[in-house]
Amino acid sequence: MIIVENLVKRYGSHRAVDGITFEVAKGELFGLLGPNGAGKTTTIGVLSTLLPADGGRASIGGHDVAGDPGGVRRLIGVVPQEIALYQDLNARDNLLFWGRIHGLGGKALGTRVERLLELVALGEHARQKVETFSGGMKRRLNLAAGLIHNPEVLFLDEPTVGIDAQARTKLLALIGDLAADGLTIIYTTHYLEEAEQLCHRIGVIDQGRMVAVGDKEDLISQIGDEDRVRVQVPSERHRALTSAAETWPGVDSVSERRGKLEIRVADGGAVLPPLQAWLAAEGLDLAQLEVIRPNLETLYLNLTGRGLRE
Amino acid sequence: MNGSVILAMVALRLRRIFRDRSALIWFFVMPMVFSFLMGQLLGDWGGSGQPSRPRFLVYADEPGPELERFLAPLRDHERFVVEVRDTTVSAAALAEAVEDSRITAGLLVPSGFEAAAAGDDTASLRLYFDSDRLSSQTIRTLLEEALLRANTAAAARSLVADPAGGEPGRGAAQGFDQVVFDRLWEEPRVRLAVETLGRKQEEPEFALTNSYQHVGPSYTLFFVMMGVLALAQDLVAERRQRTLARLVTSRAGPADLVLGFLAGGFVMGLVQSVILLVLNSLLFRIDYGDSPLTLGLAMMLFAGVCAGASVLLGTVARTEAQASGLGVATTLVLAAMGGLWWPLEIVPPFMQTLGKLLPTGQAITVFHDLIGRGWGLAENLPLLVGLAVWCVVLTVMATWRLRRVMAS
Repeated sequence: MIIVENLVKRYGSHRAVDGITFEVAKGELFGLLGPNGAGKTTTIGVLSTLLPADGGRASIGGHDVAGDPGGVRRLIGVVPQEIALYQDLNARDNLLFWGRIHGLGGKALGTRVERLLELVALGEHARQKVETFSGGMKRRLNLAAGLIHNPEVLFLDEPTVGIDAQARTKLLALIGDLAADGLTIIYTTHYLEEAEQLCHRIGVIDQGRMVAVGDKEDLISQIGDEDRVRVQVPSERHRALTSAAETWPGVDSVSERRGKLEIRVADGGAVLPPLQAWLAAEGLDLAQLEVIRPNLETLYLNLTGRGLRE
Repeated sequence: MNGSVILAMVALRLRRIFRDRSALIWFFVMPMVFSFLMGQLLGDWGGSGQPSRPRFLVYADEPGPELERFLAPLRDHERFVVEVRDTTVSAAALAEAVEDSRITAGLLVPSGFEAAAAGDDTASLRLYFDSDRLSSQTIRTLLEEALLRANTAAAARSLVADPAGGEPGRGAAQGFDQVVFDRLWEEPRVRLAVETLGRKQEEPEFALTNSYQHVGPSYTLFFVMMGVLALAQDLVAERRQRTLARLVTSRAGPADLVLGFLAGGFVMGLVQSVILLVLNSLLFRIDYGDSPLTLGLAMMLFAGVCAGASVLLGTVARTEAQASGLGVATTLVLAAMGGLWWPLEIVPPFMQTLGKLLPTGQAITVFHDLIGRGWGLAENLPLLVGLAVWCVVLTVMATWRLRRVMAS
């Protein structure tokens, strides 16, 4: 449904998008995961025909983004990061306006508006001005405005920014339902738990480049599926602990990392009793211990050397 | 072109304004308040002693009933004020006053005028007038008519008087004396000597008779411009809140969106104009003349100018506050220089020329021509063309800027 090949977008000498390539199948929910400034919004801007690309090509539903923007616009719905609504109008009037802009009208538009308001749980607030809404309600209406014309592809640019946990849960459930109904979605976020929870496949983006693409399991397998147990002991005991740990059941390897010993093991919990016994025998107090299970954050850290929120 | 998109954008603009009470106050209430207050302040320009009407000074040694009868047709004229003085003045001083434009014309009436007008003597009046001034020309014409009337009356008195001392009437008329008549015709009792003084300056024609005729239209134009330029803030907000981005990624084409924004300001300006002009007409009894076509064209072109300027401003300003400040500043400068606060007729000639190059000056002059002079489309065509040029230039610039903003 969406094909992106070697896409480039420059702002002066800065390459905001630097040769990104990926594909999204029909009905797929594809996540673009990366920190602020990674190039996610710029990528969405180019794909939604808002920004011209400086290199590469992209097509949606067979329509070239640069050559046939009108064809692309007929297929897509965009939910920008900002609340792109008229705050001084009520929810219903906002949706009616966006429907008319998309060429809808009459009874069909009225019905569609009522259905969407129910879908985003704003039916009771249809006549209420948007400026009086909570952050979560605004986000849901923002989403509804992107769906008013029943698009085949939906771009969701950080749709949960600035809302509380409860509102986020509601919104994510709603997006999950849309994906389940077969809508093709590109979802940008810097929250890895959202990407993990929602997306069928994820593209990890950093400094304008796609550093990894795949489903969650594929991505995590890139860094191995073992737990990592990190323990801090005096450096002169590193060799002794390494020797001991290599004999414990399930341990794959032991290495030194940033002044700590990292034990890679299939089940992190299994090494805790022998570790505790070793520490007691050596007369050492436990200074610091962490058990890290492989996830997207460790993947991102591994790929870029930085955390997602840095 | 997608008419439904443009219609939706215009409807959105109107809905947002008509639901905002504070906006309604500025769009419709304040213009009427200002017109009323300024109309009261400036008073009735058609009343006596109105300072902007030029003066016609009459110096008479012995003013009497014959002089009063002689000057009666010149009294209460809309173009000048007659002032009679029983002091003496030299001919040179009177001529100088005309040449310096302190008065539009001067008349010296000799002491024998009363007797001459009664048919008993002869007298020669001396008029100093400026052939370049309409008011002065009018005075000369009216004086010549009054002179004919006075001499005819004197001749009639001589002719109907019965030489035998009988009662004037049928018998006397039958005794009409052609010789007497010819002598009176050749040597009238009252003569008028005219001295023409040339002024090279244009006559500051001021056609309005009532201050409301100026302040009504001028505050309509002022608040239409201010209101439509204020819509530039909405465009800046659309850029900031990304509703513009959402519009660009919709099925509406770029041309539809540009037209939608321009049409929003245009229709708002036109709706505001119509409502304010109707209110002005009802409350201040302003008659806009006999050419509704000229009036309609002027208001449409002015609304077009404002709409173009508004969209251009909305694409240039970076913040809503900047758009607001620039909009108010532009309106104030154009209002002052274009003669919306005071008539262009009272400012120096070079400022009049400059003012009539501005859309505000062109629009208010059309109103003055319609209301004060009763002119129509033909006479106002140059001003309407001027407005059309402004409208086209601003619309083209606004379109270019908005398309750039939408593509970036």
